[in-house]
Amino acid sequence: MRITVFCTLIILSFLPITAQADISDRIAFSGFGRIVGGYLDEDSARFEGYYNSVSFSQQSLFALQSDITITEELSLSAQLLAHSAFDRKSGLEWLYVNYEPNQNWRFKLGKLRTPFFRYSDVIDVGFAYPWLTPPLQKFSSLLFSNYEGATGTYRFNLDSTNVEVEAFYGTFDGELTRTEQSIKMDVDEIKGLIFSLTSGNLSARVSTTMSSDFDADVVQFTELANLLDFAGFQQNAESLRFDGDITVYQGNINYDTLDYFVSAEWMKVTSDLLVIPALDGYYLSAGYNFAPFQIHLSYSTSNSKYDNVENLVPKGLDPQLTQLSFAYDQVIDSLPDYELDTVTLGLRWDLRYNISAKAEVTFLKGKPGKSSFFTGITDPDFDRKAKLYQIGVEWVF
Amino acid sequence: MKYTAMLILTLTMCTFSSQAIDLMVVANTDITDINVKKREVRDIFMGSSSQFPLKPVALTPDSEARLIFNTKIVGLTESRIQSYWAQMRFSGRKKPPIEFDSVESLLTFMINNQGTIAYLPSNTKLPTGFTVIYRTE
Repeated sequence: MRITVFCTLIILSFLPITAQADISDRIAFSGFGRIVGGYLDEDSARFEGYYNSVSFSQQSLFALQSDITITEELSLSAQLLAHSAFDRKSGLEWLYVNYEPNQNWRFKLGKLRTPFFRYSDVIDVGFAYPWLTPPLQKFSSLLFSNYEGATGTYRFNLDSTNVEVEAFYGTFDGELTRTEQSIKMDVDEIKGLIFSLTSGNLSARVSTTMSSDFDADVVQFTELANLLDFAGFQQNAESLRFDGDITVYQGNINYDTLDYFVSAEWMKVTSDLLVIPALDGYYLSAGYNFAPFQIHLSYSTSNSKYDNVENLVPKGLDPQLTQLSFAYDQVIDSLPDYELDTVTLGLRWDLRYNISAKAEVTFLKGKPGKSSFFTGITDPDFDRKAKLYQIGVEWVF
Repeated sequence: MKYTAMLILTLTMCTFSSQAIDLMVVANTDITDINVKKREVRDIFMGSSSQFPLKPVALTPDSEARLIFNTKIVGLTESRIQSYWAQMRFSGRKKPPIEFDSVESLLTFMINNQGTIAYLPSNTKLPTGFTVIYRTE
């Protein structure tokens, strides 16, 4: 928050200078938008907000970005975003000061997107990628999508390869969405490293993001943890508190040509927080271009595992302890699982150089008995298999 | 039959058209002994770091020279290049080259801005002081 205020003050302090110069040359506006509709062919569950009726309110959005050039090296950028989904807040998405003293170094300070995955920092810019719903997007919503802090990037050439090394550090104060519930969370330390290589049409990226010092407000967890603590079961009490670390590892490689593309991305999350499980997953994707169309096929898979502790509260000795023990079991059993395999077949049609229409169908196969990203399950016999149909229009300006 | 003939004619024209133009990459710079490779030209126009401190400017996506540049130098479709720049611009990493809708307006900008670089049809008459640093074959 303080950094956001700081950036705002910098903008205000430089406005008189930019006003004296030719302001139209110094301020540039751009933006992007998407209208996405989806239908799930299943009437006993929802998936990513979609259900068995056509909905355009889950992923549709519009964003406006302004870039103010202060000097040749210094600029300010702000991005306002209006989102249609109920679990996404509209408002200021980015606000940062950008300083590039030369073509090798770049520094940013402000409110920034957490770059967990290849498309995390442009996940709202659907025009930037082939899909309507990128395979690993589901995991972004489990983690904090932005942070306030700073990032530094060093770029150089190694023979015929362009190399970028980026380091970032910051904090998060906001809400996470978990199975359609919002959790208020503070993270006092987020730090990460990204290595990117580009050689011709081949590019690759590996990254790691570490976060610690959490403070989360989950009433049901806090109350139960206090009761467990009072009853003398500290180990079980601690398992419901947010004293731990999350580390995200990621790697991707992709090759693009005039005719086709192939890409793969892998990710692994280690966690000792109960609210966020250990995760691993990957996707493989290939596409064929026949301008103005592109057809693509993707396969993704993900698994999750919680760092559970044994329930040490005895059952049958005392009625209150038995009730407490069952309550602890119930919380553990209700934690969502993220085991899911998907196959996506999609078509992109470039109507204009900055407008694309897309259509895709995703075959979802979860694990019976697990949540597998499905929510609102009304039929206990639901086999966790469904098809998600989506159409959309994406544009940038 | 009529549509087949039209399709063949259109394809022939497109093929002829893209073979008809050769490109040159020119810079408004004091350095006259620059000799760059194809990969370095690609890096400059895709915003990657380069040993040459040159600022790229480009023609708009509807220009034939740009289509040929995408095909021969970048090796990507216009759509993929636009997707790349959307990712770079909205993540605050790089900005695409400034675009001009005519060779004349592009050259006027370059004359007034030393250190700029652009690709142009090889038969373009260049202002004095410009250096040709690469030619497509």
